[in-house]
Amino acid sequence: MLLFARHSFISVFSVCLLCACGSGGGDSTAATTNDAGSDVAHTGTSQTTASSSQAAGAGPALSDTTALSPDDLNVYVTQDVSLPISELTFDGNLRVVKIRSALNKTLFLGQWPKGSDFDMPIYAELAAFPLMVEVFTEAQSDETVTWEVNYEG
Amino acid sequence: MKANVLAAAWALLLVSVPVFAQESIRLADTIKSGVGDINAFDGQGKAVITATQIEALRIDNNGYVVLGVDINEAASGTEKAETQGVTVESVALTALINGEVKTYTEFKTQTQSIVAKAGSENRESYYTLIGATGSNAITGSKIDGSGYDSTLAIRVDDALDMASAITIAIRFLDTNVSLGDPEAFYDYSAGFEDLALINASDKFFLDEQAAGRDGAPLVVLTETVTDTVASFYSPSATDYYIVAYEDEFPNKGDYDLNDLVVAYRVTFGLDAEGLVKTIEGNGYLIARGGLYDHDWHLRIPFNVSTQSAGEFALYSPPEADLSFDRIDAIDVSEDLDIKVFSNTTTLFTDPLAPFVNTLPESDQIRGEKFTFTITLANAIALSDIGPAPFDPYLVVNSTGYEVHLPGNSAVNQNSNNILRNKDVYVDENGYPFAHIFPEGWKNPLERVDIGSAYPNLLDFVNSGKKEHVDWYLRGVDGLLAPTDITHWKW
Repeated sequence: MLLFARHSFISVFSVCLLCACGSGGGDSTAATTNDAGSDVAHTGTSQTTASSSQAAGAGPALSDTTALSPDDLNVYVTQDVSLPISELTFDGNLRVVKIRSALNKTLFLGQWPKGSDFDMPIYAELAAFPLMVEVFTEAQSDETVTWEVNYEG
Repeated sequence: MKANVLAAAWALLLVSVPVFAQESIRLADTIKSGVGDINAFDGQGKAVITATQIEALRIDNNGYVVLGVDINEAASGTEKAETQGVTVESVALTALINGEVKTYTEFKTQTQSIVAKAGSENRESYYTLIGATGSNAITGSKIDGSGYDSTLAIRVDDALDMASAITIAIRFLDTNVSLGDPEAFYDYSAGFEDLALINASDKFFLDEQAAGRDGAPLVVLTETVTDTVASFYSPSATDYYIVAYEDEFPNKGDYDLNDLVVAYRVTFGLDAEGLVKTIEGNGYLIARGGLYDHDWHLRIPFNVSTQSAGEFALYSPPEADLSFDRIDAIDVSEDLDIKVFSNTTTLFTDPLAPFVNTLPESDQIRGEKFTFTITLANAIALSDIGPAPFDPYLVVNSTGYEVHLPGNSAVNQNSNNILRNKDVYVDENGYPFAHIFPEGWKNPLERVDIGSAYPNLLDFVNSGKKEHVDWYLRGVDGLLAPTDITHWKW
């Protein structure tokens, strides 16, 4: 049934293409009309689009602001994490690294090769900092080393 | 001559007599809330299990009494239907043999991990049991139809056929779940875990099946060295990136960033030398606010050439009347570039609206989900793989353009990006056409500029990211799609 319903919709919508209201289309000439608007009304449904001017608490449209740099919007940032694990003098053979965020999310968990340092960029959201890096073995907690990694900007 | 014929006949008879191995037997008792006190003579359905049967199973398993365990845990940490785990703190088999009580506490499972007990941050090595919901039953076994996952083997050096009572006490470890994974993964919940006394054949099957093991954190194999010993998650073991697009590229459009919205996560499995051996991905379609038809790709660029093979699977949501499930083989010779979602206007539809999950009064529609796993023939360094969030890109079939995150380049040399020299994915004012958000972000409704939907966004930008770093969690309700992770993640 749903297949039929979906095809029915597509059929209805194709009428909009024929009536040249600019809803969708197959090439770049229709590019400026791909978003909602009159398309929705032509489907005959009661759907409406939102209007930002109607909502209390709405912010300024980003489109009205001055130019951005591509990075300005980024919530995520990259921080190099370099840990001298090879210098740790654990008794046990098994070294385990765990990196968790300030939001208590696990970013890395597992064994790390003995004699090797940890050195890799971590791409994390700003709210995830500081990252907590624990290095531990199969032995007891007095052989656990914890680093705190802040975003250095 | 007669003697020789008779000897030959006996030999023929001897080799033709079938030898029946003791079948596995399901036990009546289970493990509940981490505690199992099992009477080994009580079979399921009031069946009586004899000491002779248990002894036959012990001999079949070379001196071990082996239990098959059906793991049945509530989701915690990274636990989910596909992978669940518990930590075994202690096991004791007690037998009354000719009036003498004997206790056996040496046991092993196929996997171990390093976890801290509740109330402690001291991590120690423990045996673990790992499984999955609905894992395969043992074909042909008497316990066929069950969902046994892992095996637990108890070493018993004495014959048990004269035992008049056999009990098995099992205790799971109460882990310090406040530490997150691996403790949260290897905790226990109410259960309950079904058990069976199993023969060597069924033990082999379960051990080979390794249900749920791929997705479990910090797995240390008991018998052999595992291929991957660490997992590097992007963005985390439990979160997803959300990538949102304006598909009218190179025109900016209404900047509601909802023309296609996809959640995805990538996990690298590292071997004992810290090199990437496996790459896994999974994710969901969240919203489609454009009328253009798209294909969505996830590309993970490599700096070195490597061969790999794997499997990609696409699943329709359970309530969908029309299934688009498909499973494809992946063969990678250079970059990993998977066309995850094809023809979004056909794949992801709302029967009552032209868009999906971007209109205020529409029903919320669950989208398809995908998973893929590939194994590299030769492990490569993490530094030889392009950085997160990788290159999730849109091929807009309606315009012939690709839409990438800023800093990436068009893949198809015949795309309009190349032919018309439009290969920069920010407009003249610096607005990106694709952007990554944390999973708490909700896409704006149709024609709502993202700045309107999120009033703190401009302050975040103007402060140089010093203030309102959580702007994406503080949108205006009436301007955002109601779809959140509790809906799109299934």
